[in-house]
Amino acid sequence: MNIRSKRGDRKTRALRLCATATLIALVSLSVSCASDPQKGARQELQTLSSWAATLRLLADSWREGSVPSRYAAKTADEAHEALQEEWHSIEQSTTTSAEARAGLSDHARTLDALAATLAQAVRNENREAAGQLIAQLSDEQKSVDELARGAGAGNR
Amino acid sequence: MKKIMEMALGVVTSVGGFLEIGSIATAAQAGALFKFQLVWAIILGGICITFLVEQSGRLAAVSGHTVPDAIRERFGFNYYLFLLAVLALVTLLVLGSEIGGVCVALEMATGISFRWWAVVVALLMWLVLWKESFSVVEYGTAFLGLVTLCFVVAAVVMHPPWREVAWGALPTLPTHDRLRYWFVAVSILGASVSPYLMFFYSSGAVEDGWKEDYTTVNRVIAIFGMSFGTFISVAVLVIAALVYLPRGIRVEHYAQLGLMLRDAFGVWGFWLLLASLFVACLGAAMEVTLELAYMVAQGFGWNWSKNQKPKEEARFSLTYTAFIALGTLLVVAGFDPLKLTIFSMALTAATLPVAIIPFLVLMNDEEYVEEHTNSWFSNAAVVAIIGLAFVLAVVTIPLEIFGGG
Repeated sequence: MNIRSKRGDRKTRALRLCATATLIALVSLSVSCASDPQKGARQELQTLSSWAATLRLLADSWREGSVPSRYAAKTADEAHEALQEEWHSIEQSTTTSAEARAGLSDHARTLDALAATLAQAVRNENREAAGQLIAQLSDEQKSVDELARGAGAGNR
Repeated sequence: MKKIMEMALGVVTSVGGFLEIGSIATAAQAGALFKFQLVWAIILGGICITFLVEQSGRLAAVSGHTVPDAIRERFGFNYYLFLLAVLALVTLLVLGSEIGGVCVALEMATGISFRWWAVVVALLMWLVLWKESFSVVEYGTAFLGLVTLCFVVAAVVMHPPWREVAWGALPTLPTHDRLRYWFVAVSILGASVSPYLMFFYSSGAVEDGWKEDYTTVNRVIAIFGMSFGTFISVAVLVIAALVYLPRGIRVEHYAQLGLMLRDAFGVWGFWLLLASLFVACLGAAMEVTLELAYMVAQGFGWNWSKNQKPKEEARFSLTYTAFIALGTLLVVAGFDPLKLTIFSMALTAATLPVAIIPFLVLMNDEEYVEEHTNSWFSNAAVVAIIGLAFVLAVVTIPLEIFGGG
């Protein structure tokens, strides 16, 4: 085999290796950035509890003037979108029982509504309404955490 | 006196330029999920990068070669092409996450979606790189980056249980979410031990005209700069553990980062967080862009230097322009900045072997480093890092799929 064909072989191997690495990276990127409809109940509960806690902290921070209204409204909107995605994910889940799905779905819908209400309260500069939402969010988070404990989940 | 000033400047630059979206995001997730249990991963990453950065600086000072240039010369163009392809792909994802970090800071400040900010940030980066010299790019953002010391102040002000934090420096097994624990550990190591960091450091050493008598300066900068920088990352983890974990917040969305410093600083906390995120990510984005362009230019033997006018190095300038455009596309395409960051950090960990193995050979080659070859201790450290890199390379993708959440 002469030098040119050896070089050609090496270049072909190098190109194949690069193409394979690129494909693996792109597939992994898509998998990691896409939402997963098969998440289990445990993860759903953790995510719902996390968003409830985030909205509580956000409402409290905004009420005392620690964060600006633009950020509070935008974050509440992001929470609203994320919770809607969670809701759809729960509805499509095939690894959770129907009863568990119904319970999760209720909580996701409730939190979604609270997030939207908080966003509206911030836009209306209604700090009293935000204060009332803190109590509701706290109750909702407790309820989700109790469900998680009952399911043997939670990491707090 | 001049050397002492340069040491001080170098340490300050390393401290101010250490934190970026990867270290912030991974440390915040670690603290929010596992309290102080992953402090060891940050420290391990800091030790590894200290060794690699010191050696890459020594190579540059003694041989006058940057790491990519030396690899190309020693191992041939074909291997370099493979290295370039692998590292460029991963580093491009890192660039996208850094630009995303800047855009997220602007979104938090203005309420306007981060995707709209991508082109503005790209133009800003391009203008600074086009107009300014290497010193301005490196030192300017690094000095501004000293605002990230607010994380250290916040960690102290919040009175953490320091004994518990210290125990976190010892590796322990997780009590829950085992796959997630190891995935976050891998991401932390990827954020700390990035090939682009050691490559950029060596390019910077050549840009600054380091010679053989700079080996001591290099050692001081590497050790103290990386150590203080590591301490800032630990501070981010501590704050996340005190703010997010008790409340049950899992840091799965970038918007949650805006609440991190509220407990420590009240109304100032939000703006300090934003300033830190903006400056740290902007500086890192420009460094990553330059390093991508350096790798291409040094590999192909083009003119390359931020201290020359763009028209004297047209291909180098075109290369960094193209990389800025590609990195921006990732943000405009709407990839979630936090997920992109965590993913790119984990993938960085997976690519370490291809960069570090040839580096070990160079650091023992007297044709490059003359009498400054590695001691047995440095060689042992690099071999251990290579071993760690192979483990990371094998486990990263499965952990990403099963533990990435």
